[in-house]
Amino acid sequence: MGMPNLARQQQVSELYHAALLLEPPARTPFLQRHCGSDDGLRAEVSSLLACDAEAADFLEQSPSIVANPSPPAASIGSCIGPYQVVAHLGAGGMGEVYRARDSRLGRDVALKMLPTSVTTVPDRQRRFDREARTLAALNHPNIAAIYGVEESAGNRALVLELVEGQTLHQRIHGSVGETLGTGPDARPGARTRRGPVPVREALGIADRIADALGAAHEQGVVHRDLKPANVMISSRGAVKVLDFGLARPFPGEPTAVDIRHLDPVRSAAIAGTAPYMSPEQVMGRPTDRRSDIWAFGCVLYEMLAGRPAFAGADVGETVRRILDGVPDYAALPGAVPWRVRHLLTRCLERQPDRRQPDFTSVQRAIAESLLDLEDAPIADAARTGLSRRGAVVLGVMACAMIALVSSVWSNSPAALLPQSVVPLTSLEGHENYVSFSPDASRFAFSWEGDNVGHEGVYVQQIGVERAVRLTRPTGRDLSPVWSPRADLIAFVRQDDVRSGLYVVSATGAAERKLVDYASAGLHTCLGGCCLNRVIAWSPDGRWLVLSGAVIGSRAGTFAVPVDGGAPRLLVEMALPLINDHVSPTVSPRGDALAYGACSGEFSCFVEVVPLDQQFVASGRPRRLTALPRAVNGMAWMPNGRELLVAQASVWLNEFSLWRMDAFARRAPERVDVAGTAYYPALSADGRRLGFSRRTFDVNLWNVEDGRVAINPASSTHSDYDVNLSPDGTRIAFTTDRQGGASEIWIADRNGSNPTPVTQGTLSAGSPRWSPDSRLLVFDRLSEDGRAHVYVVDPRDRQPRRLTSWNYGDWLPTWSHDARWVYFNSAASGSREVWKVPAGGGEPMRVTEHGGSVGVESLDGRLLYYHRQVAGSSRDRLIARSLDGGGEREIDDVFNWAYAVAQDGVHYLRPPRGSSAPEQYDLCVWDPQAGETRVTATIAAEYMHANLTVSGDGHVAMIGAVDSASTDLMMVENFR
Amino acid sequence: MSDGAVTALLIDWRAGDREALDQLIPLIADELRRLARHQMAGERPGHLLQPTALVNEAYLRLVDVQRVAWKDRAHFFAIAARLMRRILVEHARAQHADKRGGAHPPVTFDELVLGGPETPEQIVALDDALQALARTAARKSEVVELRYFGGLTVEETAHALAISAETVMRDWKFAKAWLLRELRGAPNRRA
Repeated sequence: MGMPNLARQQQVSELYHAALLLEPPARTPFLQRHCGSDDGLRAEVSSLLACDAEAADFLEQSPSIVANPSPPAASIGSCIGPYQVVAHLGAGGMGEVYRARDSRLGRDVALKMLPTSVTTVPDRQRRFDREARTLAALNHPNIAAIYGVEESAGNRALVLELVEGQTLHQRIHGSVGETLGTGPDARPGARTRRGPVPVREALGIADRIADALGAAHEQGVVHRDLKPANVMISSRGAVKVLDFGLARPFPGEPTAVDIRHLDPVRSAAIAGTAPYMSPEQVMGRPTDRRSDIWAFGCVLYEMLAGRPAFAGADVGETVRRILDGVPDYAALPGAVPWRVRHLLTRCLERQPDRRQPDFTSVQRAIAESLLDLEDAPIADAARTGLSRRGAVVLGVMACAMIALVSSVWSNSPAALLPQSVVPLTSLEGHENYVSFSPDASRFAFSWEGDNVGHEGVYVQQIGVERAVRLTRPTGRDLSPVWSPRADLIAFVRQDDVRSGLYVVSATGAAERKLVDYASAGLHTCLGGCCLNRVIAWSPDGRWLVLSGAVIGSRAGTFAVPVDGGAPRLLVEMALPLINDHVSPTVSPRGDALAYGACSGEFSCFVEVVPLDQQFVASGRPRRLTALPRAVNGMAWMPNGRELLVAQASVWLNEFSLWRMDAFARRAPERVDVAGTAYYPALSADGRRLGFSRRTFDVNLWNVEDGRVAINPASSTHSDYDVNLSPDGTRIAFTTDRQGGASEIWIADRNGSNPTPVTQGTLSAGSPRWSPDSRLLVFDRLSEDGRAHVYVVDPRDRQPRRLTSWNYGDWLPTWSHDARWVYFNSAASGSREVWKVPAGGGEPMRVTEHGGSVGVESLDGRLLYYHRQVAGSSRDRLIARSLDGGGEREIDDVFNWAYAVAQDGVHYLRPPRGSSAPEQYDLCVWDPQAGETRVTATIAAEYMHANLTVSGDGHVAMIGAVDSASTDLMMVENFR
Repeated sequence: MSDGAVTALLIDWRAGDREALDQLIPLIADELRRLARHQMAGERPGHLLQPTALVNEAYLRLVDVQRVAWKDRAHFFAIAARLMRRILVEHARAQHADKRGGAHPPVTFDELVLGGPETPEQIVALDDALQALARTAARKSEVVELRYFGGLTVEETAHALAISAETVMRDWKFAKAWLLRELRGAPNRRA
């Protein structure tokens, strides 16, 4: 089989894109120049270029389905012709198997005689016939074909492809399996390679098995009896999966193995199968394709380890092991890549819903593993030393939930006083990963500058505005860290596929790569950078610590010698509970390593592991935190006893700094830096604290007669959903300035006197003023995730719910006469505009065929709403006459960003291109003239769906044009 | 199925809870199939239904749209794209088998026939070609899956795959040419 050749593919892709930039006549010479003697490469690229023009429209339209209920196909005839039995081959899962000659076609086939339990019960027979036909359609190179069903003298036989070779069982164990093993290789004395299958070969075979099973699953066929004895390796190395689906017990037949009452006959019958039965199968629960995933895991394990994953002295013990245990992963050879181990844990997951979902993902993991195998090997000493420790870590994890060191996630006021925070940088875009030079006079960081998508490492003197780029814009240079010896800066260079650990001198010279690695996989995107901090220096500057890396067959946190040499594993990831390591930091004396051990972007625990003088982990990792949080950056305090940790929870996606005792003797304290903070760095003396801060995001903008300006009400928090009161004096808006869930605030029109109106624990939003500018309607999320609509008087702040049902109602608006409140509801089963009397009462449905966010015109004659265009993500703005007239489509609209004024409906038209920042047109549609005019164009990285206009239409406010930016901040004299 | 559960699962999943994904997939798949059946019921033959519209509809029904971030929408559509591809291909394979007078596998999409510009054979061939592409360029194949079967925009695709929009465009362009060549059976294939 062809190994995936990623480098080749990349070469093809690059040449293809480069050639496309040239005029067609110039392409051939270009390819000749760049492909040299590689004719295959040139032909490959040329053939792609030849398709380029035609491919322009190809796949651009989404596929269509035509309703055409067709009658079921007629059953095919199963007349195949006479077969002459040549030899008895053995007993298969369901009956005796013979070698037979098809005299018509002159070929040999396998005939499998079926037991009477299949042939005598009509229902089963039909089912069998149907399955046989389904299998006949499974035309797959790795599935032994079924030629048909033969019937004679009351006996039924399956006619099967005869595969010459040995079974996988024979390949591993040398003994004769129970199925169709035949041909020269099966004979004793023939080629007898036994024992574990080499990793690459095993992965190749596994890939073929997965391909076969995946194809079968797509046809709704489940194998249910996959085992090494059912996989043939032909003499030419082809892989064939046998006995497809037919061994499956029919419904009603007991499948449970009662280990107390195993009769000898049944015991013998399942002896060959038991080790591959899934837990649900063993327990007699319904089985499905996920049972095949389990069995596949068993087969892959057995190939690699040379022995079954679950096998006991007898069936009873085997079954107990399946139900109670996990396979002995330590029995896998060291050369088995990390991803394969991970894949095994995912396939051999006892809960079916937690298993690897399908064989497509299995195959992807195999392909990636084959790539991993091409990576540099790790030092052997480290490997043997650490696999034991890895096992210990796993054991510890199991108890971790009980033995947790206490930790408190507290929202209580900070114990530490705020200190003065000054900006270190205020460049455009995102600056991240500040790291101080040892004398704390300079700092390094990552920034894109003018090279979008290619961050470079920059160095800047504190107090000097100019940043100097050290690295060329080739990939993404992230996570720079200044060495304690001051001479080097280490960083990670990423492209789309690979990562490398590099060092460069602090003057930008002598860049060199220390190691290539694969990133462990979690994407944490913060402030434009999608990589957590992953590097730390040892205090003596001899080692770099690299976290979240996959090198060779191991994943975890590595120690990489700066002066060359193989990386060695410091802490292995405790799969499957932990699948990423982030934010490493080494204690000032070099005697401990702290890092975040993560099972998800927002599920990391801070762990500390002691290090010995050889910079080797010398004990078990200790957990400092009990609750899963995002961890984005840690720094060890110079006292060696405390850590500074940037954490956030998924519910409160705001990073804040916490001071934690490294021995977990005290609860963490929040460090107040007057705002969000992540990727903290401390100077060597601990007096300077640097960190990243996202400067917000969401602001209010005014558009006044075509001019766009920021609204003075904007804060450093997220302010959006702005609504201007009809009398023009006040605004209501949604904000997170209280730090928790979003709430409704009001302010004067210019933003002064901001005052909260609502208070709660779940997000409120979408405030709209009543026509008399006295009341507000808004929506609020409820505990079960649905929203409800409320009305509130800002003076007494006592919200009253308008509907009593629970369908998910949101985005309320007022009718022009304030008698009704329109809202969005799923009450009818689809999203429609509804209305309810403003004083309470029965809701009424307004739209019939889908509609969202109804807004009445000021004269009450038209209702504007929007509807998604079927098959696209576009929304159309619609006007409907409330006097009973029809609908009229106006234009594309950006979600519900429309509002009414005397001159018509104002709306935001979404950008058409794919450039960032994107251009939104602010338009107004005049219902009298039926015409649209553009009043302003607004560039935004990110638009909130919200617009408000003054009654005369001259002033519009847009909830939140986002100009996301990340800056580096510093606290002087940090305590 | 309440709106809240899927919304919460989406949020959990984005938060790194992988089990949430395992719970989401069957919910979304069921809804897609249910919608397809529902929309087909009583329709005369020849009625056109766009899978991407189904995906949208499933999204609107299952998810509290206002309360999830744009990113979660992309994730939802990414899952749905995969499921939609599977449903279409399952169905196409079934049709294909029928036409050959062969089996009638137990797929649950019996009411639908693929048609329009794509024959079942073409859908199956496209799926095969996509699988072939995935072996050397998994990401490119995923881009096609999300864009074609899921109707994701370039930006949503970029987000779902955690790559830049520019990369999505390049992958998309390359993959289309590659697939077209495969489907045409151009003599020059990779070994």
